[in-house]
Amino acid sequence: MFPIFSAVIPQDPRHAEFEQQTLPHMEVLYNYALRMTGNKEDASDLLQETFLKAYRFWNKFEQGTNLRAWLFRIMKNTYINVYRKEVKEPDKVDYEEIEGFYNLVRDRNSDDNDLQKKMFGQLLDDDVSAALESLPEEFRTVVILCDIEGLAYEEIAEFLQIPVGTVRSRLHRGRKLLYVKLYDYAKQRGFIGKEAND
Amino acid sequence: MNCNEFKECVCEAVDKRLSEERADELMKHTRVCPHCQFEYFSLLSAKNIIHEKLKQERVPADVYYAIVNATLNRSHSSWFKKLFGFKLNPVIAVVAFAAVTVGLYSLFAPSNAGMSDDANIILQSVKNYQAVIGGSIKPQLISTEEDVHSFLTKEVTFDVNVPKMKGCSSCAGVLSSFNGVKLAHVVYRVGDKDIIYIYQASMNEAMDGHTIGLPDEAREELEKTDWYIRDLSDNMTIVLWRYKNTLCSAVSKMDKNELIALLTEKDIKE
Repeated sequence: MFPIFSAVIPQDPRHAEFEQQTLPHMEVLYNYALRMTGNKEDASDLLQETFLKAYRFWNKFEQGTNLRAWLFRIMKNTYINVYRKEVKEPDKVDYEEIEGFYNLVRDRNSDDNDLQKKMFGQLLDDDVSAALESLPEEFRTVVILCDIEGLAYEEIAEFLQIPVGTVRSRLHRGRKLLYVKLYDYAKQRGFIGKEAND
Repeated sequence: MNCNEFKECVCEAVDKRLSEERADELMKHTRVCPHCQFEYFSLLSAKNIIHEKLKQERVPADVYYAIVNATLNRSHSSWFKKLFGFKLNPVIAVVAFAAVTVGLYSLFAPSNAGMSDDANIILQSVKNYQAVIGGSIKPQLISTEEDVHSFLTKEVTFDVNVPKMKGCSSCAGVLSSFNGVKLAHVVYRVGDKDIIYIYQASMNEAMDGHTIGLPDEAREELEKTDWYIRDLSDNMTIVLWRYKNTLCSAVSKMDKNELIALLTEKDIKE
């Protein structure tokens, strides 16, 4: 008979519960962190800090409420408190100016979806990433959550603690801004004919 | 639908959140209003390009395990003292874990399509080594090499390798399975401080790569030479080798040359 040690080490039920509930959300949080910080190293740090904070305050989480939204809020606050201080925010975008440029592009192009697909399809992933990162935070957040993470408007509203109508309008503006940025990159890369801009 | 109504619901149309009837109305409007048509397609393009170009990324395995370890209850390290005779400072363990594992994912990210990070034997070995240090892997048997060998052999179909190593003061065995694949784990204490952890699995399973697998570089080198040795950060070394029909994967922080010398000594069962 071999001296077999206890095969079961009593696990802290608090930790087990935390792991079981929070780990399935890790990927979606990591991707959000990645798009907010713009690099994997900071995203990993932000993710770790978020989970450590969530673990520390696990007793404050109200079971039955939206855990993903709770984790997102911790991450967003951590991002604001730590990372945003260290990185210079992009200059405030003048939305009216962007809207004017958007209308100008619209008036000079009779683009259909196929043409726009061709135009943007040639862009590098880095260009798209840079265009997204250049958006003001309030627009970037909703675009990330909706278009990358695939969250419903209602969940975004819960996470950001804003009305669904505000989510909709930020998304509308965010996508318009993004279009203008992408158009700019496509133009710089020569994917848009000169005639379209003159 | 007029232009103002269009503006109210264009985002929802792009996200396919409108009823069929409402979506039809919107599309009908775009056919007669070039401005709104442009707006619809531009917003759709912006959404699609983001969705297509910025793919969901997996959490790097080292980050995942660092988080799991960092939140683990520190009391799990108590068995470590029993086996190895000294208590590990949990703070140091966590910091060391985080430091050591940074970069592991990029080093050993599997290039073979279809293999998940969890199934990567190298990442599993390093994670298990850290779990041994952190106390979250529990020994099922602590005994002589012969006893550990007999204990592990009863449960697996491959040839378990429990070499008798010079200077080893204790030996422990653990059995586990990963998605139905049986695994054997052997842990040694060498001298006062050094630990050697050896992950063992069927060589066929490892090479098939269906459930567990290796990065291409490691697999190719093993096929050619039966050995694969890599230095890791924080003075860790990983050594993979073939033992009969078994893949062994050892991780340790001891001196690399001493480790290789110990691992290449005559196996006890030969």
